[in-house]
Amino acid sequence: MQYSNSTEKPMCEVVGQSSAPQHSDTLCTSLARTTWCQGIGGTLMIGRTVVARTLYMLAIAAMLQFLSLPAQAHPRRGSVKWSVILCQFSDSPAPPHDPTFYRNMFFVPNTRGMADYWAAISNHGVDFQGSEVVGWYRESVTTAQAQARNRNQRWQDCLDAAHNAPTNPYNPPPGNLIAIITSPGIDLFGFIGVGSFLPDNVDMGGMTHEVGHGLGYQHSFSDDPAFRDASWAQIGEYDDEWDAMSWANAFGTSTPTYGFAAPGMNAAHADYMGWIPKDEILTFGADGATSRTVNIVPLYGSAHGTKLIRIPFDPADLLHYYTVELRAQAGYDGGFSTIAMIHEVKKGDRDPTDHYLTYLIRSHTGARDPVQTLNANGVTINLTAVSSTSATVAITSAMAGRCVQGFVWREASLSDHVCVTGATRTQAQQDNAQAAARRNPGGGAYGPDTCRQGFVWREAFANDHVCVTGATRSQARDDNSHAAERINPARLAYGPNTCVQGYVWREADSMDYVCVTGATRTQAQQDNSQAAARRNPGGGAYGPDTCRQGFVWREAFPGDHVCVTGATRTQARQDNDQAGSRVASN
Amino acid sequence: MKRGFMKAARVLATSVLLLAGVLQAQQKGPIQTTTAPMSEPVIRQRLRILGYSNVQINKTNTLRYEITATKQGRPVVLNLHPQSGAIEETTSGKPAVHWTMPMEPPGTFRNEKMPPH
Repeated sequence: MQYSNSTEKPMCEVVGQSSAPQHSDTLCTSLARTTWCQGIGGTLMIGRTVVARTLYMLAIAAMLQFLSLPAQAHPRRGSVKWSVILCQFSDSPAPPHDPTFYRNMFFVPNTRGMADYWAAISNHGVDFQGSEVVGWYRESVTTAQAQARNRNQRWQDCLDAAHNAPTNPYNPPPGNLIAIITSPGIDLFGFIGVGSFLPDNVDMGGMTHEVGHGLGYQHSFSDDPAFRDASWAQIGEYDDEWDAMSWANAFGTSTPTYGFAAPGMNAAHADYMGWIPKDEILTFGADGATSRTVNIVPLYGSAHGTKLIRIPFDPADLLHYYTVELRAQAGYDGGFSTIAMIHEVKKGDRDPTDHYLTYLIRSHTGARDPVQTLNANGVTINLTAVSSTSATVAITSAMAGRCVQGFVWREASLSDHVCVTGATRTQAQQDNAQAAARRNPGGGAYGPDTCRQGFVWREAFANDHVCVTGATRSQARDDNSHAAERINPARLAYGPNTCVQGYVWREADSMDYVCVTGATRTQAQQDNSQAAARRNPGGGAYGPDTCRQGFVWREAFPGDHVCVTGATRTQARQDNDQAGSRVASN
Repeated sequence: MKRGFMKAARVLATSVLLLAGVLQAQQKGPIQTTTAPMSEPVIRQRLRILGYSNVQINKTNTLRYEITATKQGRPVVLNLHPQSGAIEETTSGKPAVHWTMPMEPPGTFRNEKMPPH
């Protein structure tokens, strides 16, 4: 079967519709034409199409790789620098706002814009100091041409326009996150860990959501198997109306200047970035409790108290747990009634390398309200007395009595919950089965339980007279001596910022989840204890926190004015730079 | 002709290999995301804040809603962009607004036309 050239040419053009320069499309078109013009038959038509599509995907992949900057994951604290680049198309009318508008919306505190939102949500953990707004730059493509291009091209077009601008050219500094705003708006998306692409009329909520992606957040989910927000969405995706990462499917509040603002992040998301102080988080069962009633306070309220309860239940995955939080109708949460909620944090199943995601546990029928009681995975949770100031949470869980991963109950008797290896438990069962056969038939010096020659009492617990080999008894003693360290996995559940082996939280303050060596943590504690003594008594050029000669501010986090040696400050900076790589879940 | 088929086969084989590599590379690249279309409860909450009452919502497809409401005693027809939240008041029978910003899903953006408005 032959195809005429008249059929071929339009098909070539399908790949590269625009007259504007499109490197990948041009390459694709030219290769496709070459193969076609060699007069290959119908089969090659299929091959040509595949080639075209493949090259197109290759081009996308190349751009994605280019964009794949090393994402600062979590914890996040300090200044997050953004480059906000404003771009128009060749036929764009005058944009609706000047750069100052976006500067105020994005960076300037006390404008009820992004700076205020993220300060509130991050517990003043992050700010946007050092960020900049540049533009408007003019792209060479028309609005229609830009609309016909793919997202990577749209992104790159604006970067190119800024780079090639005849006046005030701009290249985003390495390490900056990037927000591209176009006028008119043609798209709204984010690259996780890279940045955002926004329309000129973007509201606070949309900007918050995409900036959230830039910071490293994933979407929020629910556990409702019947909910699918859009054809492209996963089951349950965007189904947490109380979380900014479900925007625009979230309950917002109106702002005076910047449209609707998103609600806060759910507690698991706030915890992910390390924005909840350690002393406001309760890990249920870590103290050995199996039943307890806890009062919690609003996540974004000023009252000190428990703001997040983690309830681990999976010994094989300590990052798999339930969370409980209270959200009071105030501030950015003013768009909904006060509510207490339960989430499940678990690894997503979108692919083998998926991230840990948050799933709101909600009713699957009727109004689909967030559940107030839960009985699953050996855990019961009951939320009562929910008010704008507190809620009561009754919890039971058997986690504290379970073994850490790799161990099982020995069960030498029904109540023997000493954690041993599987082989040792099997040995105990076999020994129990042989108990009668190993006793001396006529009794002996130790009464009727006297063992035959070659056996001794196991003594795994009081009055354990099962006869075993000497090696087995030694094993039982050894296991008993390690019992405490092998039981209760909840003790080891430290949440999303759990350090890799060999590191511990620095804890220079209650929100300092940067992982450091034990020596560095000790140093931080010593420095904290010396803080007052190292300040200049009369103050100085830097105010009352001015350090004595030989000391400088540690600056482990914004506002950290503890006076330390220069070497310690350098160490703190280096540790901060390494923070993401030392977290187990990154 | 035979040579042509051989070439086609080679091209196909190479394409499959490249495609596999690309898919793997894409998994490691930054994940694209977009904002969610609002669900009906969220639309109702937003319209209530904006002063609309008697809100009637008919979802014609994933991204299109037909909304009628009342504001200050006056019946209105609303065009709502369910992702950006942009709202325009119109009158019954008037064509729906053509949003500049498309409502398109990530991952299927290539050369896609905007949904009809």
